[in-house]
Amino acid sequence: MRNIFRLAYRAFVSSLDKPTLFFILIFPAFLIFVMGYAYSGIIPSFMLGGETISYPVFLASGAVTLVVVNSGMTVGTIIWFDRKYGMYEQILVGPFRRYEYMAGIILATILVSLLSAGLALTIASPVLAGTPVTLPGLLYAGLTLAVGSVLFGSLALIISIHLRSSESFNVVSNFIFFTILFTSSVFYPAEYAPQPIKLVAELNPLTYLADAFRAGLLGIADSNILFKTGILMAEGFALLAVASLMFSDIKA
Amino acid sequence: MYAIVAESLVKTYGGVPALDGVSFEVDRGEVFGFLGPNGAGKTTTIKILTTLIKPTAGRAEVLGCDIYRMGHEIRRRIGVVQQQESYELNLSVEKALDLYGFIWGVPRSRRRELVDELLIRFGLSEVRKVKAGDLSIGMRRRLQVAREFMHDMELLFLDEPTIGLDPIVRRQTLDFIKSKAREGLTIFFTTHILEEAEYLCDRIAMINRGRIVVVDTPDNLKREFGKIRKVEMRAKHSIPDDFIMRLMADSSFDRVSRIDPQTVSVICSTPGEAIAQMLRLADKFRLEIVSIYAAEPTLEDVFIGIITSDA
Repeated sequence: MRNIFRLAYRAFVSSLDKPTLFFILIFPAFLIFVMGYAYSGIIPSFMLGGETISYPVFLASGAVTLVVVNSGMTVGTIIWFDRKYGMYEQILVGPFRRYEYMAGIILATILVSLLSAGLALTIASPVLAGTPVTLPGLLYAGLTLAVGSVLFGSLALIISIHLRSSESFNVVSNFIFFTILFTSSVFYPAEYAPQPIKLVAELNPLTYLADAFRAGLLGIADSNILFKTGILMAEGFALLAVASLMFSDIKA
Repeated sequence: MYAIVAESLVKTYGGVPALDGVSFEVDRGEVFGFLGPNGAGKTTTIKILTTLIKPTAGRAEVLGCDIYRMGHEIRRRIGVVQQQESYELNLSVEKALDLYGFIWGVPRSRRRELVDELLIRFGLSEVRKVKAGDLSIGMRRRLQVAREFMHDMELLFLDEPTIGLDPIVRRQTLDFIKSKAREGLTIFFTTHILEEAEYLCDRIAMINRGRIVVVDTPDNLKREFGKIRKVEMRAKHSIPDDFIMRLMADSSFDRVSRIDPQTVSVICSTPGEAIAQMLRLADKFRLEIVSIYAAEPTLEDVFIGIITSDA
């Protein structure tokens, strides 16, 4: 276990410097304070789970889950950098087992995600002020973020293992990031979207993460919340399993 | 008890043999040089012994541990400086050293001492706050070698550790490694630079095309295989082309080269005859000789002789 914690700390330190953290947070901050208020003039408050919710509040809670995607992609891709800059083999000739290296990355992903999400929530607090937050709701929201970070960390691992050139790595990870972002319920409630987009959103794990997180944070009643949480967990474990399999096949 | 025992190691990649029955032993406390041309199998051997890859056939023990069954135990007790660069792009030099010690479980106070010592030893003090990604290749190489001394080990694998280092730093690095060897550290060392092997190694194995060609001490290798000598003659004035042509026409000389307008060298196995012949010719051409001598064979002469004859 100690090796996993040590490697998690290494992944945490070597992937998260101040500029990286700044860019993880600046995008959601921009969404919350610029887009949220800019669009509130044309998007009136709407009903969600029997509650009336303003667009800035809706977007702010979604933006926090975006931080998890960003953090997962940042830390999960450390394996790409480790392979490119020789640290992967260097660690494997040390007193570590392969699964410890991977578990370290996943643990670091969870830590960075929760830390960044906490900071993003602090940034969003002026918007979210007045929202009736409960402790169980907050714990549930935290749990969904942790599951989401495993999911997106695993996705980042899969991309990193599969792609070797920096060009394809950048193109593919950007494409996946923006596709996931714009077809999820971060910007709009999926149930209000046109049918084709709604279908895509229902396949998108970020939709389940955003919905489950909102339900916990804002106390929105959602009759499908257990189902959505189940889907999120199932997708998270499925991606983790795929990432593990791919990881075990990496040749030194 | 040996530090390393390799028996008939075979490694093939897609049917192409990289190692073809490699066997050798390394004593504890020994500095063992592993020499060979590019693609000879040096790095493959290190990867097998450090349990990074498995051999296709054969067996090996490192520090008494079987490479198939006790990989983790082996890796816990060794250090490895790989041929390829390895660094964390965003970490400063001192942070990289400290973090490496941390993952090896070195206590914080000891890490602090080691970081300070290694920064000085490897001339990295001035760049201690600089990120590894911003360092020159030579500086990064220093960091990579220094980093491996952040933890204790019984056996150190060095795969061409001086690549990219300037001559002064190279010598400092070798001196540091030598001092560690004197303290009892066993070292498995591969290099292309033969003076390094001669300076550092107690014994040398030469590998070519996946096979060990010879294993012996540098002195024995030179005695055994260093029959080829270089005779060098320096004249007061420019040596005419005809003189060189006459030497080239002598079939007992392996190679005749003009070093500069006044200097010619001859590679041969009979230096006495070569000197006599050159003196006769100099007399005939009325050349005034400044110096003429047969040089001692270097390890490089031995290496080239062995590898060429094995080809």
